[in-house]
Amino acid sequence: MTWNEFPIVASVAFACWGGGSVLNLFSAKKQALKVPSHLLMGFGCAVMVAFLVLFWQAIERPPLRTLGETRLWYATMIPLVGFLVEYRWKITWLKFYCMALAAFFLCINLFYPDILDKTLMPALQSVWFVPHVIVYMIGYVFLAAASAAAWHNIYLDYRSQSSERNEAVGHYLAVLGFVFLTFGLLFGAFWAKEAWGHYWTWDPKETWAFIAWLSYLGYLHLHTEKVGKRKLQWYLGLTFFVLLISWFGVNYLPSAQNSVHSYQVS
Amino acid sequence: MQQQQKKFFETGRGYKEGALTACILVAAGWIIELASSGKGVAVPGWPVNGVLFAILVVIVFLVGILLRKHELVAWLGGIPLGLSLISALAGLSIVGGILPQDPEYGSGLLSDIGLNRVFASWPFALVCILFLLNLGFGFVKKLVPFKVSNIQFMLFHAGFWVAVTGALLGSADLQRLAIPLYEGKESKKGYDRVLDSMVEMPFSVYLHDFAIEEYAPILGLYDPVQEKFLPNASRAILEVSPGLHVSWGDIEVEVLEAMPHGTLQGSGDPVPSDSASGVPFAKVRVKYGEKEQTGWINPQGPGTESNYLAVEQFALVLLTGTPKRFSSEVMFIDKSGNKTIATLEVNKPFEFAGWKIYQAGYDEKAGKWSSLSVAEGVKDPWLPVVYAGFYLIMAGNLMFFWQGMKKSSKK
Repeated sequence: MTWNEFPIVASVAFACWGGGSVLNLFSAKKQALKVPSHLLMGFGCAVMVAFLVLFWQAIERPPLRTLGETRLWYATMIPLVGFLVEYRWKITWLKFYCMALAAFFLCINLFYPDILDKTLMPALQSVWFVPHVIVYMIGYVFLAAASAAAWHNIYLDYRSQSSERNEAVGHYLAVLGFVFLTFGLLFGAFWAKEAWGHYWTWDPKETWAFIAWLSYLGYLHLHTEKVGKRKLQWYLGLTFFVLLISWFGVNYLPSAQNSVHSYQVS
Repeated sequence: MQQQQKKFFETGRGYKEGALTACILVAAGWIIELASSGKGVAVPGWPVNGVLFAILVVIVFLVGILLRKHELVAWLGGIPLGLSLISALAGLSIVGGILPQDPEYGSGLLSDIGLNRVFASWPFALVCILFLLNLGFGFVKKLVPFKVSNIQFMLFHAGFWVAVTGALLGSADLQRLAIPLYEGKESKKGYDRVLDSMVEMPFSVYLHDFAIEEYAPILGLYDPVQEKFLPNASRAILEVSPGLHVSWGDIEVEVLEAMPHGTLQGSGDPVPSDSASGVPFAKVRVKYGEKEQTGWINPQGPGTESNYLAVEQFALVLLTGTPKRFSSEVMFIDKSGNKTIATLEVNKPFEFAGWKIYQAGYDEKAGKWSSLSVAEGVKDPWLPVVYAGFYLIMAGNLMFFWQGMKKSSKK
């Protein structure tokens, strides 16, 4: 199963997430709809997981090389964070943002389809490839969810409905995201030492990963300092844009011409 | 409901002073850059950097413990200054992340104040030095009196301190040499980019063989007007194999035969050859509209012209596959004449006499016929220090994860 089948898979995922969300909203009045709604939303992710497994098999290498491929992981994992938050902290609204984000990333893949390429350049053939990229993906997923939570909190605050519990969830997600970001950065350093001879060379991608890491480091310290709640939520919401630059925005910067982190098919 | 509003730069908490200090450091750095006509920072090598490391440790512990009550020391180790310096580091990194970091890039003020080499410039160095003091004092504050609940904080901060200090001071002792190797020849010298000269190594390297393994050749339809390859209907990179069917609109192509390595003798069909002397060939049948043509296509190689099929205004071409693996069979010879045989491959460096030797590159124009292999020799005596820092950070990070989960489960 490859990109040819992707539009069908994406449509099924959209239908599951969309249908499940509608059922879930109605379940507030009709309890009996709750379980089917969760099953349907979960099935959307199961379809994506199955696609990733079959895609991995078909291209005979980890589907983690191009941005299009990483978006598949992102779209698969981010709703799972939404479900985790509901399961653990009984916060129901986050999953809708998460599924919307997942659908958004699948849409990018639909409108800008990848060219299927099975090759994997020698630099990427390493035991660090999968752990480095997956850990980063998980970090991004948590921080995207943290950002969604922050924006929702800003909205709630605007309507004078903010609650400590909602703010705490944003913070936990940010902490978890930061932990994975740190591991991603260090795994990348270990890998770079084995592949390129040095653990840190200020390659543009490294520089932006460092800036994103510093931004969240700043968030954690602002949180410790008990800065005003509203400012903190704004900070958390906006910091995600720095992460987006580190993720793919860096490719469009003048500095990118010298980057060794370019694995996109031209 | 009473909103708890705290200003970012509330007086008395040190934010204002922190921000001002960070700005002064950056400005001072730029002035030094201007005054020293852009020489940048030269970190002293061993043993001076080792002494500096020790002095920093002593300052952090002595001042951090003895003068911990002093207002200035408390501020130096506090979060307000830390946040200001994090912002300054992020700001400088943003400049370094946008502008190409290349001494050749830019001119005038931009290069005079070192914006084209931010991470080796004075503003960055000055901010880093104060940041290390801030981090160090912050660490000592949590170390004494010792509390188990502070272990995560201490591991993370100490790890970061050790890694950054080791990396910055150790950069002076880092040696990276590009070692050009030619098949059948012994090389003793490597090119040092920092010194911009060839330097003698404490050993020599003999290249026995350089080899490239390639992915299967690729079929492409080239549009000379747009100067690009057209995407085919299956939107896949087409690895050539017999029986492959592919279409570009109404142009249909079938691969009849594929020869991994072959040569042309006269004007007839190609004949199979060994990998060293041949190029890949494919026999293809093309149908478009009412027309049909069959022929052999191949990429260019030494002594072999490339052949393509003209299909309407396009060219159906065969491209050499991208490298899957490249490696060098080498022999290291140390000063006493001891020989060690090794294979250098990307992601699989070899350790010899305190150096790590990497497969870095080759003559990409010559491709698999390259007789040049570029190895890289790296000696980084401070690596264990930096890695020790990394391991401390990872230990702290694991605890952070565990703490976060535990805290969250209470909610």
